[in-house]
Amino acid sequence: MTYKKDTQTERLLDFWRRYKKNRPAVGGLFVIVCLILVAALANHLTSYDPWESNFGEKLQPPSARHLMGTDNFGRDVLSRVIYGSRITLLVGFAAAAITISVGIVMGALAGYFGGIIENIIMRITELFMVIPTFFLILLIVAVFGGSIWNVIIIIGVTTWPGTARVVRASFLSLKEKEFVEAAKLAGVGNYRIIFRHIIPNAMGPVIVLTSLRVASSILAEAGLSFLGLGDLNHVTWGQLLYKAQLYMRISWWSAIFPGLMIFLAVLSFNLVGDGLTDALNPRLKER
Amino acid sequence: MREFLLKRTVQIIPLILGIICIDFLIIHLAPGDPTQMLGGELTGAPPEYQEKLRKVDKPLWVQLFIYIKTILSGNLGYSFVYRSSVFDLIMKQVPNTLMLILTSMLFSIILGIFLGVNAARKPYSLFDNVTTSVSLLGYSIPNFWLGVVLLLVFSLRFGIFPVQGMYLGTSQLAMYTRLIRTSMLEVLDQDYILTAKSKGCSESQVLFDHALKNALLPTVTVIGLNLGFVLTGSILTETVFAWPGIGRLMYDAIFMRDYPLLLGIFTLISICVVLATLLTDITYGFLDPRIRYR
Repeated sequence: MTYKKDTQTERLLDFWRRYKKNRPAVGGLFVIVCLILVAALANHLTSYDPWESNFGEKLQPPSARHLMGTDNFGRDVLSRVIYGSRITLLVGFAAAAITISVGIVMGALAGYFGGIIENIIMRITELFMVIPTFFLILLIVAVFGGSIWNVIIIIGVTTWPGTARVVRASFLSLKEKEFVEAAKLAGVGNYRIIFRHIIPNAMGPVIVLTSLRVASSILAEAGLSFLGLGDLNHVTWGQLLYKAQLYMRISWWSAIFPGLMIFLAVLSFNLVGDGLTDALNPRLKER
Repeated sequence: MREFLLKRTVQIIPLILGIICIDFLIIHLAPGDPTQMLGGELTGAPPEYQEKLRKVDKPLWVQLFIYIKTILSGNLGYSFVYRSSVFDLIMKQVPNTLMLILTSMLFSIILGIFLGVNAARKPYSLFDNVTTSVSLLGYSIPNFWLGVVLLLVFSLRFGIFPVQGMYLGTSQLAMYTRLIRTSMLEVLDQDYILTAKSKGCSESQVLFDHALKNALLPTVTVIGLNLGFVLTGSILTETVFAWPGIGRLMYDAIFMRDYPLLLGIFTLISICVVLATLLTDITYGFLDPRIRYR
């Protein structure tokens, strides 16, 4: 038992050694860890209430008191950005989780069983690959309303086909492998073969996709909020940017900083995705 | 070749039907009555349209069939806000959006080729490293935020109106640069490039005449597939810069709860994207004969 544990730590260390070589990816990971910490500790990081207005201090440029200035209600932009990280990251991770889990299940069904199931799922993914997803998200949110969970679910449900295609491709090759054959001969059920034997081996590309999906979900939410379709009851970076537009001419700071955070988060998740690709496929890098 | 054309054309039929089915699904799953959703208060709609809407008492599959037939005949519905046919409303805005999109595509493709080829000429040189990192930044930057920044920097501070097309092209530019760089590197590794060099061709001849021609092939596919992506960018761009295109129309439709118009825009744009991918496929078939026989 101890032996197995050793090889696992060994493998993780090995993975980290390869990941470490990609310095931008390490930077991206650092930024993400910081963002998660900021979101978790938001109430300890700022003494300003992000919702309470203070008209005596409205539209002030950045200063030592308000590092990112104040908005049209005199609220501290920095503390709003800090609190905004919570919902923004929630949207990113939750939507990515939905996309990835639906994608894995659909991809697994299509790749493992083949036949008519595969045919139907693949036709659906083809359709979703072609139609401009953001338009679809926009349309559905406009019709069904833009509460934060609606937005998360809609982003998740409309972007799974990409994952499904990747998972299916891995399944097609993995299901022919000897260990699957062995498991079948040992009388292991389909369900167990899929989830215990094949999926763990198909996770590589899925992990990369997860990182990219978090980035694209954050971007999608920001885009929706920017068009005024987000959830007005929650502070997200997209919301902040949307609300700042009206006062942009007199207060650049309330538009610049939230956007900069979106940019930073999206960039970091993309960089981590790049780094993971390199670390998971050492062969690609050597070329 | 004819067989290839026919096969590809037939393949888009289920896609177009699928798009219409998505519309149908949204109409029927939406909160409230489908009649209400498509007709608003029914006050402004002409009598024959109200008549049409009343067909909702028929079984669902009959409704779907009628719906598909209506859409395919070019009738995208009636906007009760503008009191005009959705198709006409969209067509009025098409030239503006097209102008925006074409400018951005031209800009990003030409500059992308230039940057990508030069980056691939000396891999890991200073130029290559700078181009690669900047293109990664360009790929991650939220398009609409960049617009806000440009508005702040240019038109509000210095009084220069930015060229929206160029700005819409930034993320595409980043993508094309990276793509052309990788495919150039791949092509430059091949034997026929060595042959060309040993024949005594000049560097630019090798790069542009021999290598680029083949390296462009993957880019051609991406250009077509990118149309949806560009259109998405254009809704946000048009909103930032108040450009009177389809994106702007959609933005207004959201606020006026003009669902027929929203559905119509989605349907038309999706069908256009499907047609664009078909066109890309066909172009690719012409450019690369190997594809046709697969």
